[in-house]
Amino acid sequence: MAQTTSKKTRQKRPTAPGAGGGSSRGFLLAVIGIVVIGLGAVAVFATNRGEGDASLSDAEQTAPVELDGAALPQLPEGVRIGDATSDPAFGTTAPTLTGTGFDGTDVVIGADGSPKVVYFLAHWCPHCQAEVPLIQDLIEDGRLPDGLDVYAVSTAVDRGRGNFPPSEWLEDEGFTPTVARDDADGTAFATFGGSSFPYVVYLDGDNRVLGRSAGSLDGETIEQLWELTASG
Amino acid sequence: MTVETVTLYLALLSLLAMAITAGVIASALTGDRFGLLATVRPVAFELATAVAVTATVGSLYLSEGAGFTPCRLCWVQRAFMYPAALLLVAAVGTGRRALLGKPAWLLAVAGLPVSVFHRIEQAAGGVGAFCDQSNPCSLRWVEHFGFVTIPTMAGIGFSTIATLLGLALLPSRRVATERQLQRS
Repeated sequence: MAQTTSKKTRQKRPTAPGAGGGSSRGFLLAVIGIVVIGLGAVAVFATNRGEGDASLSDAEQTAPVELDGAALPQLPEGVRIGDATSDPAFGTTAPTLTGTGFDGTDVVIGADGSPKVVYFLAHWCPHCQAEVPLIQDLIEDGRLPDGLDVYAVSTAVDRGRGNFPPSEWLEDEGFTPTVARDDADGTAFATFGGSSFPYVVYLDGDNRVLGRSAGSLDGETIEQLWELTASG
Repeated sequence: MTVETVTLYLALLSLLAMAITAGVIASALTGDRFGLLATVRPVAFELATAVAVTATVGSLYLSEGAGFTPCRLCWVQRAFMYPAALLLVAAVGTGRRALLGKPAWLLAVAGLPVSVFHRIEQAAGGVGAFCDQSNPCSLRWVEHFGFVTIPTMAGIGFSTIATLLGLALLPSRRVATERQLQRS
């Protein structure tokens, strides 16, 4: 008797999912299919909604730059900031950068008598994204030494990468330093000797290099470097 | 269609996969009170295959279409995902689900910790960390909703494949009981 029941169960098993399970299986696959297609529509809608603006933003995010002067050598790895022996650019004159900001106003970073710090930022770089609010907090807290100018250069712009466009990112962060746009090839970044982000160049009033750094810094170090730059 | 559209779509699909995985795991832990396991089980193998194929095609698009250079850890994850996708497609095509599904499950389980490690490396960036043009593993080519990066998507893919294959390949409680009865 037990054997008979067992055989019946075995015979029934393939038919059971086919009868009731088949329709529910099809229904479930249909629901998932509709959701998957719906998500595709959401993605298209979400990214196309501002496509007109985005293409405009793309055009505005980079601009030609003029660089007057010799290019700085690329920052070698493991250089201590402001170390004359390890940084080949120490004491050399940085090129003068003439470009424009996101609003089209002229920006000149050169020998104007004021010491300055120039940040090269990539919108898609998480370390740059972390550094920008730190810098802004220090400025808002009044930690920027008198006479020191802070500049930023938006470079390595790539609309395919995250956090695009950089103009919106910096505006959202309430970033107040003067920002210049690098060109689409990152000419300013390369001419200043950068190879990674965030890249910072510390200059005296005659545009001579006091130090360079690559990588994120904490607030305390940023402030110390500002003070050292301001004091020449 | 822009790269942003495709990456957003992949991110949304990842969230859907995450929801399905979370639902299946929660149901398994609570004795399938709402019948979710019974509903999903008949299509679990096909869904796992779809996830693996989507992950494979998606990763190829990101490198070959969008031009995002895969880093070292991306390649390790590919080494687990691509064969898993091939095995699952072959399993669906030939009907040899148990034979080909089990190694695919193992590949998914093995790939998951690599994705987790990669995501931690992306999140870690402390003082001194930088984004190198030479493409370190900490670089986030894609980020949606503040947390969905490429290794996040891969990790969700691996966990979804492992969960769904586990559901598809492990006998249900009813079948297990029947088998036990047959033996006795």
